[in-house]
Amino acid sequence: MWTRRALHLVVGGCLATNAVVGVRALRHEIVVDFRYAPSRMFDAAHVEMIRRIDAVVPPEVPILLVCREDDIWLNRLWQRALYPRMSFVVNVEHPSAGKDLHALSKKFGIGYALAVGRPPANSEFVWQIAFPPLPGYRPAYWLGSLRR
Amino acid sequence: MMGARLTSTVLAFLLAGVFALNGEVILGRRSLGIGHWNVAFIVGLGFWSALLFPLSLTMGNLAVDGTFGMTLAAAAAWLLWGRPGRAEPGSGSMRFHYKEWVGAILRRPAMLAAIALTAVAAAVFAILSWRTALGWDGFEIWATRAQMLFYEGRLTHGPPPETGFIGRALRYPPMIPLFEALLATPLGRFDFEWTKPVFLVFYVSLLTSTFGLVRRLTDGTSAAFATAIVVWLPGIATQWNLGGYCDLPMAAVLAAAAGECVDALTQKIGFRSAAAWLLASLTMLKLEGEIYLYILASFWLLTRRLSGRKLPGSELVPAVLPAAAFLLAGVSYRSWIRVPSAGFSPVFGSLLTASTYGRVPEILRLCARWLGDMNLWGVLWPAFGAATLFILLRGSMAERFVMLSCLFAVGADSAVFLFTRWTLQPHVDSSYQRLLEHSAPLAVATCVAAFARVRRSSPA
Repeated sequence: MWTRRALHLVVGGCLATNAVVGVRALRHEIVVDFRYAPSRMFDAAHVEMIRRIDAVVPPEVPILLVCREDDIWLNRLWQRALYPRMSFVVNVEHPSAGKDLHALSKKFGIGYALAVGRPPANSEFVWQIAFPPLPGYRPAYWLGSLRR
Repeated sequence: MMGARLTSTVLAFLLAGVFALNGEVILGRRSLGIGHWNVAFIVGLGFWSALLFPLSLTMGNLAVDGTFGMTLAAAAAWLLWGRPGRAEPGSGSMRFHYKEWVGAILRRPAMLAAIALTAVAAAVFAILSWRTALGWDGFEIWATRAQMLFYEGRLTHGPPPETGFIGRALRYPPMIPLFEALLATPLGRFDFEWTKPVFLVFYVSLLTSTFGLVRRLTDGTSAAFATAIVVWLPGIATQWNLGGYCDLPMAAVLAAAAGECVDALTQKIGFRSAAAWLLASLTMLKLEGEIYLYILASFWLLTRRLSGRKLPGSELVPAVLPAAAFLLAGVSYRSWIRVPSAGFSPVFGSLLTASTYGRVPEILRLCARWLGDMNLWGVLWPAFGAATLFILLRGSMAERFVMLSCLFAVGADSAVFLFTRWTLQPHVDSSYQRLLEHSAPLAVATCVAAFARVRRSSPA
């Protein structure tokens, strides 16, 4: 009989521990998700940007994405937002950014580029601000087209 | 937005129903309850996932649309003209007789409590899943591959490597991306938000698979509690599973496969065995699925042999065919796609180097740390360790099969780090907790079965 009681005690302890851990984790998850987590992959501002790019750059035409290479999430977010249009990432922080832009543009025949933040000065692209910056939220976006 | 979430969720469950009807055609049976529907759904989806590569080669960019049309046609034909070729065999535990079940539940308050606990966890999971966007892998791997499938209409090599668009994730099996892409087909455009309900379907599948597995080992109340324990594990209920990672589906399919293997220990098997098709379907979710296939199949064979049940070649050979075909499809696809695995060295070459073995103590230390992580697993893995010893000494053949499958699955998940090319600790820290999730339902099943057995054997 005592073995049965001991067993119930041990199992009860395990279940109670798991219940506490589960409730605590779920409460934390609810707080984080409702306070901080985005509810959509692309927010309204992003959707508007995509719409305006689509209006300028013909569909199916590839584009160069000029941004920081180590900002992987942003790069991939934009690549997927622009898909099925192909997009090639050019590292804006690299000293050879202008040359890289030129090389990729020539290799794949790409005439358009989207820069997150200020684009490299020494490129063959003509840049204009496409979307003004939102303080504390995102930098300005520049849309460039190859100088003819 | 809520309307879109609801619509996509309803559509996902309808599509799951279509796959279930396809699964019934393959298994040649009519499902009698939610447990059978769950198995049929996985079998149907697994079948079309394996067929996607051959269809991509033969049908070109009509492969995905063709799959959509053919699944609907097969489901419609089965509804109109299909007749059950055989009564559903099995333990009977998964049959769903509404009045009988309601009566049984009301007579057992413990079961009612377990179901209520599960329902609360499921409701919270659904709300959080609707509320949040996709996580890293959910977005950049699985949904992205679905996006590619939708726009390309077939499996392709993707954009040029210079884009860095998808990389090694192209090697991964297509089950989840196919389901997500097919969900977008009736919509006519790909929307990342529409991919989330796929994981609610697999959440229900996980509940059903866990209940079915434990019910085969012990009583219904224990099975209901086991299900509640699984869904309250933080490793299952939170974080990446809400973000559309593929680990929850893997856990669901592994539990379902283990359950059907338990049935198959005492039954005749053949080409239309659910166990054979579920084992094969493991390979269509993640690359780890191939390892789980070998583990479950090996222990199933060993257990069946030790049980003294004969296994003639006329039964075994047809039962091996689905797994062989699925493996062939996977290997052919990977050799066609020609994307190297960036994460791991070739196994046989690595086994010859001393540095591989030098990693063992560090791997053991890192993995043990995650196994003992109370914030993710409570006391599940220490409890599994204790239950393992008990089941080894006193368990039934079926219990030993589940326990050994779980033990070796966890062992294999740990051993893969012997071959990693990445820095060891970040690799373990970023993936091991998710790998453990695959085996968690089997671990809970082992613990609950051990408890039930001790309880039965100790004097009241």
